[in-house]
Amino acid sequence: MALTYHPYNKNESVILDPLLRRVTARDLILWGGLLILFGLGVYAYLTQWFSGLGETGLGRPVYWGLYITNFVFFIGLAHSGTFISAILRLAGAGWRKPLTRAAEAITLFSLPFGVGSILIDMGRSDRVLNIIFFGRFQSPLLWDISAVSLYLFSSIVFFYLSLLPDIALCRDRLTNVPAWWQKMYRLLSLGWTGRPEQFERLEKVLDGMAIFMTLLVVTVHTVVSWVFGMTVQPGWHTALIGPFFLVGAIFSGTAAVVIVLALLRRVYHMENVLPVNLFNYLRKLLIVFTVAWLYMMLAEFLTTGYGNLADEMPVLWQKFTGDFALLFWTMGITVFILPIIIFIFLGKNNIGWMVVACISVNIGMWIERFLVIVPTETRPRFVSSLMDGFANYRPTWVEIAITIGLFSGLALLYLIFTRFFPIIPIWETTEDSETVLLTSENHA
Amino acid sequence: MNISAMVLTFFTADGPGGMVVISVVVVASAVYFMLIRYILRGGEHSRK
Repeated sequence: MALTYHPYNKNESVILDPLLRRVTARDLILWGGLLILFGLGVYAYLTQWFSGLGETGLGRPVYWGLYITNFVFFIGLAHSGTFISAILRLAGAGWRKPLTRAAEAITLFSLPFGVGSILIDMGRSDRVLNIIFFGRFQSPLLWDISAVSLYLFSSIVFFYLSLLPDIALCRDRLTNVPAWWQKMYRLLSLGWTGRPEQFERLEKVLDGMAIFMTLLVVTVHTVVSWVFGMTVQPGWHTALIGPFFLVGAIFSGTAAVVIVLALLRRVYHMENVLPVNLFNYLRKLLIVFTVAWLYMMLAEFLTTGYGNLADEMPVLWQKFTGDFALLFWTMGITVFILPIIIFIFLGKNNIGWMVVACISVNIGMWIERFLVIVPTETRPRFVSSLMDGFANYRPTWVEIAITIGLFSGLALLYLIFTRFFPIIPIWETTEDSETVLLTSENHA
Repeated sequence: MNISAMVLTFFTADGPGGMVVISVVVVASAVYFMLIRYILRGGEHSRK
């Protein structure tokens, strides 16, 4: 006989309920719908694979379009988990505990789609191996690969470690699930027994990793921005691009957490576990991020406009009054004007309004990524005089279908995860503890 | 030995960059493996 200790959590049954729920017709329709959209993306990718990048709207000089927009956006979304989990952990914000896993899961599932976007953009994805064999460290793309791969790997470990006690709890509590499911819990729990010393060490390691993850989160998005910033193209070659990307990433990531939490609360009836005051805390953070984003935007445009450099101004005017004006002003409304009104006047104690604002922020932030990338390419520094009227970009159905497929894949993965693992950390939100006696065969 | 030439070669030659990526992942794997083992062994001796 082996002893296993599990902390007592009065909300345990509510948190474990999604794992035990029967699959309803509504679930099947939702999963099926997402799967079809993901399949559409796969079909579009195969079309591109066999016919080449000519199937896209990409060319010269606009060589980065929707795919790289998606890459930057997904990496930005991925910052939510690290921000909520690591940075707020270091700040000692206890209120973050119920939402850490939901946020970390966004990180975990967004990163592969971000990395995947780069591979898709390459056309010949297999050529990524050239980086291993022929990589030059002077290339910011290589810095990017180093930082993102370390971030992905570290996020998986950080996520897994905080999940470990709960996997063991599932192993011991959910004895009525199918055998393969039980086996998965047994394997993943690594024989965790919940000894106080294990919890002590786990907390210690998570605290240490939180410092490392905080450094990583800053590094990763700065390095992502340097892929643009290290070129001498107008609008990109600015020292502000790193902090600008970072603020945007944490902003859109935190907004994504609000959307996910609201959905979980509604669908899985977790009103007691995810109370309204959690959203109020996030609302305050989002007000700060909204203002910080505006500050970055103003600092960037004022510096550029005041400098009035011949190469920079066409890009600026492209956004203000040119081909991208509609998108630019839509971005201004969706990222700043609408959200700040909602956050300040309507969002307090009102989850519905918070969700509206956060969806608006994420739509706007995706547009913002697009506007950072494409207008510069249509008016590049060295050939601007030759390009008037020629440098346009119109995404094709292949790019749009792949984009829809990526977002559907992310949603599908997230949904599947919530049906197999507790999305609210049981051990971190506990109040007391109890001892559970189990037979040794329940261990790996 | 011309150190500046060596440093320049590291940044400009084909190959060393890939080694950096692999090294980063390998070192991280080793560190994380040891951390997980350290956590799981907590209290192992006191229980025996």
